[in-house]
Formats: sequence, C-alpha cells, structure tokens
Amino acid sequence: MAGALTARRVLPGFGPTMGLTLFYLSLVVLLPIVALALKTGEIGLARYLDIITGPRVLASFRVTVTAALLATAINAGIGLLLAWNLVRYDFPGKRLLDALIDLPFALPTAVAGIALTALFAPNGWFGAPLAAMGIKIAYTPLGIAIAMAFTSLPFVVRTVQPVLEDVRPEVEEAAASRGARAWQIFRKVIFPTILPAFIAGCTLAFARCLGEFGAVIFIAGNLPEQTEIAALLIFIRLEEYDYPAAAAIASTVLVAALVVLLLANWLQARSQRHSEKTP
Amino acid sequence: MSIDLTGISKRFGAFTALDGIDLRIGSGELIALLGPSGSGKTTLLRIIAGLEWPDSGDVKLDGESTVEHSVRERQIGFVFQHYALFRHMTVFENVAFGLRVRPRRERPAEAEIVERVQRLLDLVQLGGLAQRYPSQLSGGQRQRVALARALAIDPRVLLLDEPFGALDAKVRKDLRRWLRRLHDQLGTTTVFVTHDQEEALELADRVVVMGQGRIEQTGSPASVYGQPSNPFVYKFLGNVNEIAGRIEGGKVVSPAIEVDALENEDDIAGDVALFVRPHDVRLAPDPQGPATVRFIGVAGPFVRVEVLFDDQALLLEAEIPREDFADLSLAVGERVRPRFRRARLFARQPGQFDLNPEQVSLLSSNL
Repeated sequence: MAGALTARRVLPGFGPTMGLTLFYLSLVVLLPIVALALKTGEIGLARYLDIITGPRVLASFRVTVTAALLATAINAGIGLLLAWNLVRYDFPGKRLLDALIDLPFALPTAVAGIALTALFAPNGWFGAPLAAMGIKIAYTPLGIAIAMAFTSLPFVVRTVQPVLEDVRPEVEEAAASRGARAWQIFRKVIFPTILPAFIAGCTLAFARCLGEFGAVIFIAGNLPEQTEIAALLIFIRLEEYDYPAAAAIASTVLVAALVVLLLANWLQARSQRHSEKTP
Repeated sequence: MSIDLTGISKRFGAFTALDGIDLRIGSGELIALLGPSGSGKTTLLRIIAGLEWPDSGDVKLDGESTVEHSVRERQIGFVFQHYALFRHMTVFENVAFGLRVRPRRERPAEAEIVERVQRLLDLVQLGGLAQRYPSQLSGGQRQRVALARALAIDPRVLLLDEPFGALDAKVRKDLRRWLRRLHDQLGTTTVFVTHDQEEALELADRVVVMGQGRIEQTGSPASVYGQPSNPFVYKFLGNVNEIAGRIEGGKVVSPAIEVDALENEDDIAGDVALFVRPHDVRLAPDPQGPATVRFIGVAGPFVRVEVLFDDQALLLEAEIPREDFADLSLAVGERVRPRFRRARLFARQPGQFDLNPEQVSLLSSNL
C-alpha cells in the first residue's frame, strides 16, 4: 500500500496512465457491456422477465450455478492443498508441478473439454470403471463441474500461494509453544491469515466457472433443461437470430457475476481489516 | 525451574552451530546468552524451547529429560525477536490463545480467561489496549503483548530471542529495565539471547558469552567484564587496544609504556598481547613522549583520542572523561606520553600483530 503511494509521488504520469486505463477499460470492457444493456433495455421489462423465467432458461441457470458451485468447492479444497504442498515442501519435480498448475490457462478450453470427454465417456479410461460402479460423469452435471474445475484450477492456487509463503514460521512456533496442536495452528493461525486470498481465489474460480463455455459443451451433452449451461443457451439463441433473448440471458448472467464479485470484494476487505503486515 | 544442558551439539550441514555445550541454569535466574551472530546462541535457546533438536546431548528441566518432548508439551514461554503476534487477533485474543487451545477438560472457564488475560495485560501495562489489533500498536507495545502471551500459560521457563533487537534505542532501554523488574516480581527462570553486551551486562544475573558454538565464559556481569578469560571475551565486551608486548620479571619491557597494574602478571611471561580498554588509557602532554595525537573526537560523555606511536606500529585509542580532557588541553599533532591504568595479558596469537597501523585502528575501534 505504502509502496503504491510513494511510487505515485516519485514517478510522474498519473494523468496519462489513468487516462489510458479508463480509455482502454471503456473500449474493451465497458462498451460491450453497455451495448448489452442497451439491447436488453430495448425489449422491455415484461418481455425480459418472460424470457428469463422460461423453463429452459431457468434450468440452464440452475445447471450452471450448481455445477459452478461444485467446481469451486473442489478447487477450494484441491487448490489449497496444492498451494500448501508447493509452499511447504521441497520435492523432486516441484518446479514442474508448479508450471503444470497454469496449464489450464494456456490450453484451449475446447481441447480440455474434448480430452475430458474422452476420459470420462462410458468407454473412456475413467468413464468405463466408473460406469461399472454405476457412476456416470460425461453428459451429466457432474461432468460439467469437472470441466469447470479443470479450467479454473489455477485461481485458488495462485492467490493463496504468495500469502502462504508470507506466513512466518515463527508465528506457527509461537502457537505451538502456547500448546496448540497442529490442526489448531492451521485453523486458528494460518487459515485466518490466508482467508482473504482464499476468498478471492474462490470467487475468481466461481466467476470463471459461470462463464466457462469451450470446455463444458463437449462433456455436457447439452440436453435442454438437463445439462445445458447458460452460456450455451445464449449461443443457441444467437444462432437463431433471437438477439433479445440472448441479450436478456446474458445480462442476467452478467449481473449475477458482478454481484458475486462485489460481494467477494466486500468479504475480502472485511477479513483483511487487521491483516496488514506487521514487522 | 532449573535447566541442565549437557553435551549439546548441533550441526547444520557442514556448519557446527553448537559444539558440546554444558550449562546449568538455576531456578529463578535471569541469564543472558551473549555472542556475535553465528555463535549458536539462538540455536541453543531454540533447543531449550524444543523448536530445534540437538544432534547429541540432553536438556533437563528440573532434572527431567525433555529431549523427547515437543515444544507443545514443554510449557515454555518463548518470545520472538519480531514478536510473531497473530495479526488477525486482538491483543486480548493473542494473550488468551494459549488458554483457549487447551483441551476442553483443562480449559479455564471464559470468566477466568477474561480475568487472567486482563491481569496479564495490566502487568505489561497494556490494560487499556485489549481490543486493539497488533497493527495498531508500537513496536514496544507489540513486544509487551508477546511477553504477556508467553506468560499466559504460566511457563516453567521464559525464553526470549533478541527481545529488544527490533526496537529503537530509547524504547529498548526502558523495556530492558522493565523486564528486570518483571523478572524480580515473577521469579520465573528466564534466558534471553542478545548480541548487545550492554544489554547483557545490565540485565542479567549471569552472562554466558558464546563464540563459534562454544561457551567462552560464564559469570556475573562484573566478573566477565572485569576478568575476561580469553581475548575473544575481552574483545566482545567492549573496545580494546591490542598491543604486542614483552614481559620479563612481571614488568612490561616493551613497548616503553607505563602500566600501573598488570591484572594477571603471574600467569604469563615472554611475548604477550596486552589488552587495554580505551578508558584505561591516560595521556599526558610531554614534548619527549613517544607518540603523537592524531585525532580528537569530542562527542559523547568521553573524549576519544587516537595517538600514533613514532615507529608507526601502534595506534592507540583512549577515552578520557570530558573534565580531564579540558585540563589536558590536548591538540592534534601534540606529543604525548601514554600510561595504562591496567592491562590484561594474553598469550600472543599467531599473526596477531602482522598488521599495519590502519588495521590496528580498525580493530581497536570496532571490536
């Protein structure tokens, strides 16, 4: 914080940099959103409500949100574990594992979707044994969640990792010398410290899951009202030249995502109130 | 609670941190582990605490071996140099932590926790700041919170690792005296680590001087300062002039300097190193004197004077009380005759005096 303030005073150029920032954000982020809002505005409230409460649309919302929540829950656990391992332990191949974490960002999501579908299809490597146990993953909401979890894996790891690295070992030693057990040290000392970053990571992962398209459509099966996600429904409406419907669904997803992000920011600020670094 | 350390050794890779430490600390003592960085003092403290394990040797608390016990079981209060407070907790919760993490059966009732924490906060004079967060406190206040947190579990031993190292000079001094009073009040066996000789000498009942993983000397502040057992201790406990000399029949034959008292003349003869504290050097103006004043520094309670002997082999540092200096009215370039009020003799180390005057000067001002 202090660094940013000093930098602003030491380095000139607040005017041009801020101007460029606002211009770019307007062009790339704000303008499409405004266009979307205008398009949605054209259709009127009654029509809008009519569209987004249609059974197929509601079902797509439900499928998307449920799968996104499940995927976020998976990544919250696994991401925390991965970050812990990468920070706390030294092992051969650590750098490789570290690099591997970012792979979902680099891989075209469609490739991920096709690979996952091949694996989890009833005749795939994982799908066959699971099918024998009566568990079906591909073409079910569970498959959607797995695809979402794959593409949003890096978020929790990459936000928690640096904060975890900052936890001084002596804070844990202090807790241990007060008589705290290992799980108490984690629950009462370490976890509260990384909580803001953890919330941020989970939110980003959740937001990404809501918008995931490429990876999901291959594994989802895309049965209307069963395994059809909102993003796909928007795409379908566009292909049908039904722009008002596409805009209505899209703006609803947008508002939901915005609310989630704002809520998370607020939560994060709350839990961070007193966590500023003390020497 | 007494502490018995026997044969403690510890290596980190090729580095020997501790090399056969034997030390007995009596119940209720206030002990300083004093030494330069790398002397092993912090490692020794961490071994007593159970935060580090010795490669060999035994740590006994009240005669009971604790090497098998973890830090959690030893019931030791440990204070870290950088406080290590839980920054997401209030001052109150920081102090209460040790009580709250106890198993349910042993945990005091909430009312008792509140009462005990409040009493501790009053003890460290932070009674009004219970609901603050560590980030809202000054360094000195944070360290007192850390101390209260360490005391909350009724520790059998209190260990402090460079407790005042991160504080500024004024606060450090206040806190030092305050810790002494607190120790006298509580009587808890206390061991603290420091590299500041002034801190060790002022605060401790007994000072343990460490160097390179070994104990160099143990004794009261007066005895380690007054009778350093070897050159290392002598040099570590204050500024020193090292002078190559020759002793015959209990007298300094060379250089031609008067010494009022040789502290250990019986032990040693022949080629020696004379160790003289700058405040034991007296200077008298004398046109026939063997040395010349080269520098005069008048800041501080003592006036610091450097004199260079004519043969260029010896640069001497003297600290003279301001009043005496006024009477002397010395000036740079004037000839003087130095005299030592007392000197301590040590066997000459190989290569000790193969130094040019500049290096001798550095040695005498830095050590």
